[in-house]
Amino acid sequence: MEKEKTFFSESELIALLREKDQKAFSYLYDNYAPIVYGVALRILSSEELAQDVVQEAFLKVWNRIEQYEDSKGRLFTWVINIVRNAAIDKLRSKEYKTAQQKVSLKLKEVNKKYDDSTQQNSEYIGFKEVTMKLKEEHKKIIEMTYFQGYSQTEVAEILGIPLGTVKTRARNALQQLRSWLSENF
Amino acid sequence: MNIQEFIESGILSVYVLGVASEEEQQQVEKMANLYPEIQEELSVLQAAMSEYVAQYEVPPPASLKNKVMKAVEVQESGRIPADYKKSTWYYGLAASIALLFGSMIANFYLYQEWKNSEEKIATLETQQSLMAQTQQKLESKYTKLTEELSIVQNPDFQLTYLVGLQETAPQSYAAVFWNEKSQTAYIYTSSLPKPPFGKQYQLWALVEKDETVWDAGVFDWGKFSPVKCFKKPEKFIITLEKEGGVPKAEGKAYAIGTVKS
Repeated sequence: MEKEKTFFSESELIALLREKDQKAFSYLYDNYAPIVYGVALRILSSEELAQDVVQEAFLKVWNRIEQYEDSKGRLFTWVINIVRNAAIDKLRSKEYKTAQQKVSLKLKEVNKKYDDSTQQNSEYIGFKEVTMKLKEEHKKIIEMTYFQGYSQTEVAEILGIPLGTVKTRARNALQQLRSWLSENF
Repeated sequence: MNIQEFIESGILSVYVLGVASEEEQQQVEKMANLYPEIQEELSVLQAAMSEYVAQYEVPPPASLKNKVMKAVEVQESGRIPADYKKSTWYYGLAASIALLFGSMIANFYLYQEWKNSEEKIATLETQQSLMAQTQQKLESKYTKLTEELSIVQNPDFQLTYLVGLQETAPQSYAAVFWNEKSQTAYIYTSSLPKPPFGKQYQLWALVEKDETVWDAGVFDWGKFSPVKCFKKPEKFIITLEKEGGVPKAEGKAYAIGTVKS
């Protein structure tokens, strides 16, 4: 399918989507799908599951566009959050759920498992070279929370750090991302 | 709350990373609405996260777009014109009814399937128990036959053939096996006429010279049956008597045989 050549501004796009304009939706798909799919794939490590989640997420965007409030952030953030949540839900509904329950019992094992799975993830074919270089501890906290869906409490337990430190580390991680952005743009 | 403290606590970061608790989420949204500085900080962090996430982009297969667009089209084709579209409860209701019907049909179908399976199992169970019964019967018959054969082959048993009498049982035979040592005896016949209901054959032993006759007992037709014989007779006679036998022969004689001396 050829990409729509027309350009929509974000506010135009949102207005058209609210009118159930399928052309606008097609444009949204073309522009957002690679990142949406990339996020789902990184979380689930399964093309099949990731594609299911992407389809589910786009349908949700189509059906719930009325609920989007620009005061809560950009459309892109909203869309990505939808797919991220759907993917995490799927992750929790499946095999990872068992591992989650064992967190407090077998911390070391889970920690190792986490290390292995992130290694697998980054070796996943199709991922572009990640140019944004982060400190290991910052990368880890983003991986565990955003991509693995561990709660703050679980992260604290697994890493053996106080709950307050999880927030501090998250903040430091995002500050690093931010500085990287200001340097490069 | 001090705005700077709020920002530095990292609560905005955990919010952006999607791991804020429900309480924290509400707090962040409330504070962002109240304070532009917080809103600004939040936007910057979200943008940074978006940039980071964007690096992981992977082009999905082309077929996925077709699926997504088709799903939207299918959904929209079932949509009621905008005039009627006051609220979404109507779709909810329609979908619920459709689901209910679907579920009812599925339930009915599954119930039928289940019933069929139950019936099949019941039939199989009956067949199985019948077969087990048959097998048991055959086994006990086989055991009996083996025992009977061991009698037949035992040289201690003397065999006497009884021949059917002309007027009552022509061309019929019975066989008596008598063991003098163990004083046991058996009789077998299936060639004499089958006794009518309420009647039974009875075997008599006879010593002519002493003019003594003794009752050797009633027996079942068609079965290898034990009878009583405590001394060597000259002859065996079979009569047809009422069921259970009689002390002195009353019925007609059916067969007679001479014991070899």
